[in-house]
Amino acid sequence: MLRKIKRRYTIPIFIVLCIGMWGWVNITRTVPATQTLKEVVTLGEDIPLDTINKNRFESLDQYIEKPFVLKGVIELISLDESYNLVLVLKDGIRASCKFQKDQNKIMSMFHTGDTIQVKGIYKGALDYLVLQNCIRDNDK
Amino acid sequence: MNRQLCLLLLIPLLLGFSKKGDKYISRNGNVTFFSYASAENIKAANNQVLSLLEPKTDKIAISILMRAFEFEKSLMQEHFNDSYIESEQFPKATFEGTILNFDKDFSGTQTKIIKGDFTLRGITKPVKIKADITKTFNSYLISGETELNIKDYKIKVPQILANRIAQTVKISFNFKYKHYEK
Repeated sequence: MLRKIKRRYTIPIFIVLCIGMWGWVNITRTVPATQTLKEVVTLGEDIPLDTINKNRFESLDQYIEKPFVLKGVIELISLDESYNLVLVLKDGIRASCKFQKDQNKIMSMFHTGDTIQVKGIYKGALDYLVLQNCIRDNDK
Repeated sequence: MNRQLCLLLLIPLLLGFSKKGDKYISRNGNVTFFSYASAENIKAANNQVLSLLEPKTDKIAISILMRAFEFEKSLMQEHFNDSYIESEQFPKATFEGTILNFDKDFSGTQTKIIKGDFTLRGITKPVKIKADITKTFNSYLISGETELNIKDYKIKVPQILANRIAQTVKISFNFKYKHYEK
């Protein structure tokens, strides 16, 4: 009798548990750290800067949500919970980079006028490129 | 003769300076929104907002990249971009307005009404925003808040959530401007 009840309830309980776990994983999912992203697009190499039409960045729409690597001179630094830099790239193109919180210590050493290479997720453009989850990139 | 020469040399310099001071820009403006929901409040922040201010004409323009709003939970961010705002189709929200009775030379803080048009999801509606404008030595600070009705912008909320999400969203903003240099 007991064995019959067990058999009857085991599968539904297992299904409910699986759905619950899937839901929990989905709800608490976080964005992967940029350090773990390997396939990157390097501005200035994979995409030559002179092919990007300043203030009209439609050609980059295909790269939205993909990691970019770019190098520029720091024009503006602001900090709330994490650092946010405005960089001036070659050809006068600007990029706004919002850094991951784990970069706060590294970023505190930078000043306006310094050159930095960053890796971040491309979100789109205003009159500048917008990157988030940025990290200082030392790979190249 | 020398004095005249000096004046002649100074004129283009002064003209250049006044031209430089015509427009102010903020590339790291902050916009946050908050919506009360019975299950969980929805809040997000965007610190990469573009705004231009032209004190001479009292004009202000704001451009917001919707994908740049950061949420506590990435699932919320996905729903916001894919289901509610449809960021792929409508990547930006914009505001163009005029600051009413603005005294551009007043040093200190003045509270003014900004009247203009806000465009979200391709829908433009007139809005009035109360804002505090502070002039410092070489910059302006503008902060304020307003409320938007989600129905005005045809934001589709699933029926199951309709009663759990507030119909208005509180928007707060904060911009620090500096001289615009191309």
